Amino acid sequence: MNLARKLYHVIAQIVIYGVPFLASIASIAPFVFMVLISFQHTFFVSGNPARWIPRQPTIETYLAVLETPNFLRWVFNSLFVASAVTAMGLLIQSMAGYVFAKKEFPGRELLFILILSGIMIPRAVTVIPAFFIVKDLGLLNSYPGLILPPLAMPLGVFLMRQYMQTLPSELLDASRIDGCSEFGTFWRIVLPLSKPGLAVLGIYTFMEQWRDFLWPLIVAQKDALKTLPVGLSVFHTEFRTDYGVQMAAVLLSIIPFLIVFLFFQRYFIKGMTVGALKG
Amino acid sequence: MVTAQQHILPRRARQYLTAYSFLIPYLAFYVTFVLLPVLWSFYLSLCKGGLLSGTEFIGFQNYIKAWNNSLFIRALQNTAYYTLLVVPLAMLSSLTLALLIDKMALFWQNVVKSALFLPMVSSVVSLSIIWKAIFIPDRNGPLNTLVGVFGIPPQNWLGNPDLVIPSIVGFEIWRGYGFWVIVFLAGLDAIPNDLYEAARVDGANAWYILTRITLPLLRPTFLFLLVMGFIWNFQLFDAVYMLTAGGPANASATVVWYVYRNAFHFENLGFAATMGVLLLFIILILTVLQLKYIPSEVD
Repeated sequence: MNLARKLYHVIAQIVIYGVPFLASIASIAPFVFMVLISFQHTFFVSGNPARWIPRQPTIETYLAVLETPNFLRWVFNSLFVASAVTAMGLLIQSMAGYVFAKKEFPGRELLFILILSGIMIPRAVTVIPAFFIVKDLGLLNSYPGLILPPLAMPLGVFLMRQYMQTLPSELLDASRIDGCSEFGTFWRIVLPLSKPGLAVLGIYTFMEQWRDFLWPLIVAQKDALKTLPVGLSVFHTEFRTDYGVQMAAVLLSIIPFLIVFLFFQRYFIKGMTVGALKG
Repeated sequence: MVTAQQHILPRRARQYLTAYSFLIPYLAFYVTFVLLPVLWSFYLSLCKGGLLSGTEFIGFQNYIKAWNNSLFIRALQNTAYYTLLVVPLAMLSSLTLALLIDKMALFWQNVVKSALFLPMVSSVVSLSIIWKAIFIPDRNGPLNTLVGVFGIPPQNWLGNPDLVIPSIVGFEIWRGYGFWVIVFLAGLDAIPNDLYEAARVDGANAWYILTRITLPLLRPTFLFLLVMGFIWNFQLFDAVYMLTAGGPANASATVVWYVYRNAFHFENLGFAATMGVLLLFIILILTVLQLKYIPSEVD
């Protein structure tokens, strides 16, 4: 009896640890493969059996990537666009979220539902007219063309509203009585109190922009204005058979962000599941 | 005179003005890049023409054309097939994983979470480039080597019309299940501990706790993932663009892929807009049905 229970316990522990570890390995394995292949040239699959571990590692693959005319520019563009969207988006979305959370005004419910329903609208519907609008504004192949349209993300308004509803209204009234202007109250009281919410939304926005493909693909047709995903999608067709160079490019494109991720992973995980936590 | 009028503006009216002044920056972007484009798309769907040639009003012809366009129907079927594979598989595997991870020691929980989350940090483009190499149809390709261990003959993962969608499904689940697991873990975290303790005091076994407490209380999480899973996966584009370009012979073409091709390669704006509008309605109807018929409340 006691032995059976012990056996049951051991088996349970093996399953509890074994399955998630296997899943973790499955998650990481493609990245290990990428690193191994990135240090060798082209014909790794032609050997029999295939040689996974490079016998003579080379960094020529990395040099080939760095010699690509605009590679570093793409890295900069991605970082710049994602940062700008995050900073500006946080400001205007939290301003909107604030009034939905704390103010009474006519049309409030209607406007909020209108904005919220934007979450369901597929990109495929908005992308064609948005392209025309950006074109008519003369913003094709420009940073504003990449940065302005994503600022309309409805999820940010919804999240900031949810977060700011939890702030005590008495505190805001007190600051107003002390003679703070409306914007002063928002800037000096509301925003600092909302830091955790802002951090989560900021990370979410940054990640979405860092990974976005469809919009920059359409708007940035000039090579120098491409973001990293768009640049890589072209680059990879140029080195179709040289898997080593492709993997080196992917690795170089992942590394700056991976370092940030490893430092702030707790916030990242929170930021990415933000919709769910409130859903 | 003007200042006097400002002062006699009722306090309430001034409050409304401040509220709107806070809203206007965001609203301007929302109207310009979401609302106006949606309305414009409705109008475009009633037109024919392209980026260069200009558009001409033709009424509902595009909708009839869509109904009779075998490629659009094919893309719709592919999208549905793909979504119906991804959502249940990701749901089931991530729920199982989350239930197991929840029982691990905290340190190992964090290790596993970081590992599962790694793919989420990179763009679909980067991940597709890695997986294109993994899918190499050669006998020595990475995935073929792996399945070879289990005695499965080499496959042309992305070149075989029957295999291409399951292959992309595999890629998308690999890419996304870290997110699904973490959402389920957050849901598990939200279940109050005393419920479990009360059940244990009553002598409930593990199965009873799972089916009578844990799973029912995860309903809101489950509903969220179902709704969002459909909304996201019905819009599959990046992976198709990178891995197959809709091939072989349109076997992996999705609706958004076909919209993109029609708008930006075939000079077929009106038809692209029509398909976009149809997609919007499909997503809308599915979301409403899910929210209506799947209870999120806990009994």
